[in-house]
Amino acid sequence: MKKLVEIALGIVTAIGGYLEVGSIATAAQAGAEFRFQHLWVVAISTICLIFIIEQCGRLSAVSRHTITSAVRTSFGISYFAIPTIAVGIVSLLLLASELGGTALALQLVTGVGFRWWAIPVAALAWLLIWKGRFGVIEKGVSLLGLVAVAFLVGAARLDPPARELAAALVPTRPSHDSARYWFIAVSILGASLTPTLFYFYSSGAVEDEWDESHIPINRAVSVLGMGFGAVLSGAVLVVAALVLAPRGIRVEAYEQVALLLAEPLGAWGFRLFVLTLGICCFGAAVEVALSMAYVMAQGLGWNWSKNDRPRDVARFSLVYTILLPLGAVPLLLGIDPLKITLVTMALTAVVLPLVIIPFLIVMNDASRLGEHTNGRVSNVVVSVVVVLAFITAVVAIPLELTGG
Amino acid sequence: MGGESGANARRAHLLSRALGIALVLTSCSSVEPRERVRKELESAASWSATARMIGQMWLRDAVPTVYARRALASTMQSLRQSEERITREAVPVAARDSITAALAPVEAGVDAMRAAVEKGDRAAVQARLRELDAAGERLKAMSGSAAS
Repeated sequence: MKKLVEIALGIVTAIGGYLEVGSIATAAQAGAEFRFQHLWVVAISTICLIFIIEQCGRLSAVSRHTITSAVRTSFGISYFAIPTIAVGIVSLLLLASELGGTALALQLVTGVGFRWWAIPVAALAWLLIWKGRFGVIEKGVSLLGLVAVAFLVGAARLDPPARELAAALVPTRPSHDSARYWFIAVSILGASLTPTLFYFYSSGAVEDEWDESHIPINRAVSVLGMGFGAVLSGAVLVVAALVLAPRGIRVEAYEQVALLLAEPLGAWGFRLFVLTLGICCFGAAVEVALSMAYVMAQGLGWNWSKNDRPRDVARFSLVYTILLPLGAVPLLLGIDPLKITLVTMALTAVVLPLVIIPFLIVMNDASRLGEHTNGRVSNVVVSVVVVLAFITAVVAIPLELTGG
Repeated sequence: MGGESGANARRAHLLSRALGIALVLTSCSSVEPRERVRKELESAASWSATARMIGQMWLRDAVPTVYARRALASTMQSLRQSEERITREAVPVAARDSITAALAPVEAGVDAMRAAVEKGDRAAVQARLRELDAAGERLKAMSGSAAS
């Protein structure tokens, strides 16, 4: 019974914590500009995400190591520094995006500009991390994030054409503007396959003291939690395709995204959108700040745990204490959070191989994982998607930036 | 009868304007400015549609006034930025003037709608919506002809 509750809670947490600023923005853009055409990208990135998350949990359950500590001990500190710096820069941008998403949600309801909310939101995130234990941080915010189910309700009320949705799960050539199509595809991949999510999940498994008995729970949470979470992302795309695309509205600002649920759900739609944006982005900001603190502490061999008092893990606590105000800086400078988000999502796809390839090598190390090393399918799916995401990003980003 | 002929005249005017723009833009020596102008026109048409949707949703009480007011102000700002960027492009003066002339009623409509929302004047918002429909259609046709 306890295991069942654990599985259910894990799945619900994964669903509630799935949507964040990147997945909302990229799915809305895709739907508004290309209707359902990017649904296959959402499907492929979800399959890849399920494989990676399952591997993260399995590594921690079997070896009691997080991804960071496993990669560092396998490859040494000098290799470890390269991906860490690259991921660190992208994660800082991601933190700014998530803080920006929360600040924008507050702007939408109060009319007070997002810049004014940057510091209060960062301070609130810091307070939650400082005071909260891991379980509260992980489950509390994610459970509130279940409000994102509103997108599924909205999509259902719009009665999408089932046959067209099914057809969109098969990759097709873009109907127009190829460079833009592939840029959005890469951004969707980047929004789904975020390294901070992998670090957070594997650190969480160690925080929760997982052992080999947790392998089935891990599998269920990965498949069902991430799978249903991705359905929410698909629902955002579908709503955008049915609400914004027919009107010729392209997503260039969050003010436009805010209209998504007003059509199918009326006044409640607007309120639910604001709640979804605010809660999901706030949860993700906390998760990103904490993930970066985990990476630094685990990589440099410092004490770390969100279940210890901050004074007992001083350097770990110092990292998120510094990062949160840093993440607020781009917002204070007035940089558009949507622009930060879209650039960050595309850049994530570029840095992915730096994180995933050494991780895959670790996952095939029998001395570390014994009989629980990766199977061939797992290796192939993750390698192919990550390499394709990287190649597409390298081609599509310059084309998008030069207007090609 | 009069309404039909008026609609036909409007359609003919719209078509001739769109064709004119297409002709002038395709005669530009460089492809890049033309492409950039096309994207700006698309963006302006998208913002014009956004303003219409905000107005419609506000009339249905589906969005709060505080949001509608601020979102319309952002729309106005984005339209002005598009216009500024277009005027900086190396496109023939005639094309630029036509585009500016097409953008002006959209900007005026959005500004008037923002003021009406602020006052809570539903009838005025309704009237501005009708004006924006016509102005937005012209902009849409223009961006469509620039793309072809």
